[in-house]
Amino acid sequence: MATREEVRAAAVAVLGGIAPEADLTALGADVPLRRALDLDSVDFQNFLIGLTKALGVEIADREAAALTTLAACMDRLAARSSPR
Amino acid sequence: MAEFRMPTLGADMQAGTVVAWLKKPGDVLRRGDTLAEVDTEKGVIDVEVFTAGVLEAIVVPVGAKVPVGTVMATIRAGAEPAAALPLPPPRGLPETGEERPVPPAAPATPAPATPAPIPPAPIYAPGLAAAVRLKISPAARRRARELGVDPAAVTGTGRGGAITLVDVEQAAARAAAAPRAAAIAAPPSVPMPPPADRQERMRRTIAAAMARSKREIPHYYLATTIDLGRAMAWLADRNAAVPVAERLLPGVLLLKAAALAVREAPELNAVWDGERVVLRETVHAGVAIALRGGGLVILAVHDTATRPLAELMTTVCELTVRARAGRMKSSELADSTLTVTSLGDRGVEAVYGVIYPPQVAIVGFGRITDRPWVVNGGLCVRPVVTATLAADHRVSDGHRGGLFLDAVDRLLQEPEKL
Amino acid sequence: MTRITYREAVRQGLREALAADDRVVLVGEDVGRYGGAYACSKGLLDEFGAERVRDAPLSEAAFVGAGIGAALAGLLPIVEIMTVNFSLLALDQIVNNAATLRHMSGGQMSVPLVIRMATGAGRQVAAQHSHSLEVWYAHVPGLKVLAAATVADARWMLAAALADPNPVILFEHALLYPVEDDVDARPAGFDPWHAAIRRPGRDATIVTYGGSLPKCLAAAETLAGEGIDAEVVDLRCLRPLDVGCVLESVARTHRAVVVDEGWKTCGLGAEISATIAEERLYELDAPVARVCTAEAPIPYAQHLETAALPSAARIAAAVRDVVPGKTAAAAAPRAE
Repeated sequence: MATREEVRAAAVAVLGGIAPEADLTALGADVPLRRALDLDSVDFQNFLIGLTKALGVEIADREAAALTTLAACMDRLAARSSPR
Repeated sequence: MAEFRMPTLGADMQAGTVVAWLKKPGDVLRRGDTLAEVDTEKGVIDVEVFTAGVLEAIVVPVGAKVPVGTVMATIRAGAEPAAALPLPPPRGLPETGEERPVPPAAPATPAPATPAPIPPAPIYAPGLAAAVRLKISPAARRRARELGVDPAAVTGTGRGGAITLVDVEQAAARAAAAPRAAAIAAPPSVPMPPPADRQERMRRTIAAAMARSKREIPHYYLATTIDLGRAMAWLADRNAAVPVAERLLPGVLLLKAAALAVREAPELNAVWDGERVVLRETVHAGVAIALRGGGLVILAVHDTATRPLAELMTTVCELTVRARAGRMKSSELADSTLTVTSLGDRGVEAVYGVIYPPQVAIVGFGRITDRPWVVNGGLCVRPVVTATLAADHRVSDGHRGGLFLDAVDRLLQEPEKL
Repeated sequence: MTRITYREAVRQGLREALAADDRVVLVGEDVGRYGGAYACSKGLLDEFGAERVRDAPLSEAAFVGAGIGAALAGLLPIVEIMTVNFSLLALDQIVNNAATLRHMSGGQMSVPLVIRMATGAGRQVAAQHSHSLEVWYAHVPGLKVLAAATVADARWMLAAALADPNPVILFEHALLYPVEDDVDARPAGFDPWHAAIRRPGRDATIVTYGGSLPKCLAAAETLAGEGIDAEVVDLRCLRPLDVGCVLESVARTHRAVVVDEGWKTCGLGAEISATIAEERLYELDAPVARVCTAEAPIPYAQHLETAALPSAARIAAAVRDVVPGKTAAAAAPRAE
């Protein structure tokens, strides 16, 4: 259902709630999120919860660790929610 | 009639500014309702009420800064009639919500005229002895008003740490030297200091609490490395089967294990009241939450030892979000009995904490990391964590601290029972 | 300018009073032939005769009563009582008669009587001769109470006391009699009814009177060497109290230490402290401190007597305690 751009927008919105001080417009697609935004494990858990709510998708525990960048989120979640 | 007082939200708090009243006189109050928003160096705190009843009168207006312990509002408890006669001043300590019976909520029909139950004073309010009233000479208090200095932010050098004229004048000189700090000197009716100022105040507050801790508390430190092989495997199994929102982080297992291990050394779950230790029956573990941009707060996860892991997980996630947004509740700030700190999964291997007074211990967990480990005489790779304990030697000894860490280890070997 | 003792200053005051006015008489135990228990009236019997310098029988009630009667009848009697301890035998005469008659008679009968008495400890003469009961008299309306702490005051206070229509109790601390100082002519506008600042200072006010003044000045000198600038106020008149001087001083220094050789409980120090708290609370930067005599009858044994009394060291310590910041710096030089 969601396009790559929609996934990106959702991820940025969720991150905005977790790290309000960060300038997310400049966040490159391949930047490691946790280091760039200083996310700890609870922040990351909140990120995952926010993503699943926003996109209406489920993220497997094994898969969660792979969502290290915006690009990875787009690759995995847009593909998942496409009608294909 | 009950009095709703400016609570002490940690040993370091001396005053707070009322930002908003969320109820008006005549409103029915239930236990846990947020009655007021109070600005402190930790952010805007939702101050909860622990007496059910009806809000009778608001005493402290919005914008006013008052010391801890000041009566902010009066509450008519459940069965009480509207106050007709002046009541004797209460002997109780400020509301803390700790182990305090709550009078019944207002019944639909008027109850017979029985005397209102007077709630007993709580056993101990954290930091109360230090914070009830600012120790400042009358001359210094007046001078502070003249110079626009916030006395709560001044360190006293007089007898018994009293704030004297010299202290106030030096504080004013410092404030004048640093233009950014001048905001502190604004009259108390200015409602909200800018965030930069809050950060500065928080830094100063942490400085005061930690300096006091290191000055007064004879810390001893213990460390042990715990094999988390079973715990991590159990966690992976459990998390694989549930949606994201129900998954647990390893940190919550560590938190609960620490809370349960208190059974083996109850003297670690306590406060030091200046002369002796006061044990707390319930474990409200305080989690240290680092704030983005600097500073930290310690928020209580209530009833840590008895609530299920999933619930603790939800609480920790929620607390983290609110702490970073600067929206905390008074009970979360005031109630913690033992701090648990972890520098996170990208952090360091071990953390040796500084005790948050008046608590008497702090438990630290480092990063969970794979290490070569000997099991049954054979070498293998296991996820391990270094658990540390910094404890107050006035209250407990190394042997008891060791038993505590050993209990944490044992509890983590049976994660399914946590 | 001549250098004389406090004892000689008292004697000169008495001699001057006797010479100046025929109505003045001196009455007391051993004031005539013996020259006074503290030798303050030596030679006055010979100079003024037995009519005007009268040895009294050993009954304080009787000769104080006689003095009151003489004052009512138009004389200006000076009654000497050996020590304030003995004056208790005449308490009824002083409190019930001398202090009241002017008021009870609507001003028709005045008692222009001066009662001099020695007070204080420090001479190993034990409890019954050593107490400082000035505050007992300072409590009583109708009396005026003076305490001469300096040689000049010992010289000039008597004339002012005699000129007052009220009965005046004039205290002389027995340890002061040998103290020497230069005394000039009577200062213009000499006024014993108001306190005097004996040493100006900025950091703390030491309030005292009588025999404690030299100890306070010594303490202030010690403190000056440590960078603490103490002001010393000599109350001089204990009734009516000159609170204005004390309050003005405290408003400048913001700290007060009251030094009184009397006992602390219900003493003069309590009165001064309470007045400061009532009138100048918002000037105070530290609690008011009191240095008083130990709550015991004055011991006979010398080391115990010394320990019981205020000393310059105790006074200095009390001042250090109320002056913030300078205490730590002072600790080093004192650790000799």
